[in-house]
Amino acid sequence: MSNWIEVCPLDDIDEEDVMPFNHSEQTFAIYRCPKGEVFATSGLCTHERIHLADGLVMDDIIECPKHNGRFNYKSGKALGAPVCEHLKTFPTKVENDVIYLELQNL
Amino acid sequence: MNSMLIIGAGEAGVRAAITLRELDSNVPITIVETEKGDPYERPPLSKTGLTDALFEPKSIVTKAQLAEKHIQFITGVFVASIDAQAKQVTLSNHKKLMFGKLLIATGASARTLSFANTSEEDLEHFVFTLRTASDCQRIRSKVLAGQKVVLIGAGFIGLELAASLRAQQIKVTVLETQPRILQRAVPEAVARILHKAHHQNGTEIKLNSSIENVTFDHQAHIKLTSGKQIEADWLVVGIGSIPNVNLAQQAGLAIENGIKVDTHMQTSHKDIYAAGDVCSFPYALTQQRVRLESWRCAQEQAAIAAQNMLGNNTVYDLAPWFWSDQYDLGLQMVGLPEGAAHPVTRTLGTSSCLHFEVNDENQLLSACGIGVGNQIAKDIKLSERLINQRKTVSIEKLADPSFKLKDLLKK
Ligand SMILES: Cc1cc2nc3c(=O)[nH]c(=O)nc-3n(C[C@H](O)[C@H](O)[C@H](O)COP(=O)(O)OP(=O)(O)OC[C@H]3O[C@@H](n4cnc5c(N)ncnc54)[C@H](O)[C@@H]3O)c2cc1C
Ligand code: FES
Repeated sequence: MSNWIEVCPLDDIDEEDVMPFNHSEQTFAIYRCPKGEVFATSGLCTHERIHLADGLVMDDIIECPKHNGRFNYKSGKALGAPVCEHLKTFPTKVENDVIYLELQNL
Repeated sequence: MNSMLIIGAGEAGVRAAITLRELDSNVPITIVETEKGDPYERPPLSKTGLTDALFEPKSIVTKAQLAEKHIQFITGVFVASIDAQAKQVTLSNHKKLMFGKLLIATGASARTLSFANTSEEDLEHFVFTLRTASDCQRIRSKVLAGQKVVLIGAGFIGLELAASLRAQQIKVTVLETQPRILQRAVPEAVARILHKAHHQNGTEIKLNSSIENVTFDHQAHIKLTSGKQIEADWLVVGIGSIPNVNLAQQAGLAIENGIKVDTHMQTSHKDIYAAGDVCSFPYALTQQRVRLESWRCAQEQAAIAAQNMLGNNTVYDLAPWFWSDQYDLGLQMVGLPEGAAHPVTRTLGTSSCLHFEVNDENQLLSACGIGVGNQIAKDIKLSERLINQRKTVSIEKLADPSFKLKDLLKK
């Protein structure tokens, strides 16, 4: 069964930017790509568990604020040292200008 | 013979090996490393290495991962000499290895002071430096709340140590010969914020302080040239590092504050390259020859060296990036601040600022920032791109906190 969680109004995130989002002891990073689409990944870098929301979004890439590890935030793929473990990604949707994130119920 | 040999499995050596394998799936690659165990990251040694009770060195890559990539990893022996003419090295166990191309990535060693009339035992007991995981372990085993510790040198390692030891309830005094902390490393505006944080956290920093002598009984007694005396339970010397150039020197390679390389990371011998803390290189933005101790720079240089060892023609022309963590503050720097033509400071609060340097052509040369956590990370990343793309900037906009640096990039 799926579970859609309300995140925030679409306008709260600039295009080509990222925002943190916390929900029931989990933290996420919510992105808007340059074209405006919304994506979500787990919030912490897989190198030293630093929050990615202070990082820089350029095109499809989020660069970690701490030691510049890079991930493709659409696929979650880690793009090379110092990060090798991928990020989890989560489905998102926008309805009436509000962002929702889908969590799988275990 | 086209085999690739790498001396040293630090950030540079490992990055070179992995890049070589990514670019060529067949070429034989060997790394020789003095230390046993997996290659590990050094930056945590002065940070979580001293504050985290469960700290374990973080590996850069494991032996198993290297084996998977068919990279031969010889540990626990060192390279004793290089015969550049015969293209062969001799190991400490007398074995000889031939090479087609060689990368020297031997890093640097902690510089220490000479303590006159001091026994080996006293040195062992009272005096520490910090470069390796075992140095970190020695310091960890020494730490007890309530102790009094003197750190000699207000460089990055000394200041990070101060912050980490304060977190362990140790009384810390830092001695610095210069009139301010990080005199040659960071701009004044940033140093001032950092100094204040040390003060607020109870670290005593004594500037303009030179040591006359140090004597030991059950404690260390440090006498300053001013006549003042300070007692310490132990001390750490953090006065910079010395590049490990012996091998290169004996092999007849050019040395100039490190192994001298060109923008291709090639030494004075066409089949021998050097990268990381051990080399000095021509810095693309100012043409000055510099030697750096920067984690990412070591990796970037190694990747360039690897490409050229395989016959490519790639130059290292990026702005070096550096970070330091002290207390809750994060410092980051890109490019090399050197008091250039037009300094600009963007004030972001009482404990945060960005300092930029711009040349006469309005190109950004360097940016250094400090702030709580990763507050300034994004702006440093944008500055990095502005520098590397040689973009022109407006000094007024750099100074204005409401102006988004990203807009300069899109221009
Ligand atoms: C405590 C500490 C904290 C740091 N913090 C930061 C930081 O916050 N930010 C930052 O940007 N940088 C930091 N640095 C600097 C960064 O770690 C170095 O720039 C980086 O490690 C350089 O990599 P390297 O491969 O050139 O040298 P090293 O990492 O020194 O590796 C060289 C290797 O060569 C081996 N070797 C030497 N001689 C021989 C021989 N003859 N035969 C075989 N092997 C040999 C050595 O055992 C060593 O493992 C820190 C360094 C230290 C020590
Ligand atoms: S914490 Fe993200 S790269 Fe190190």
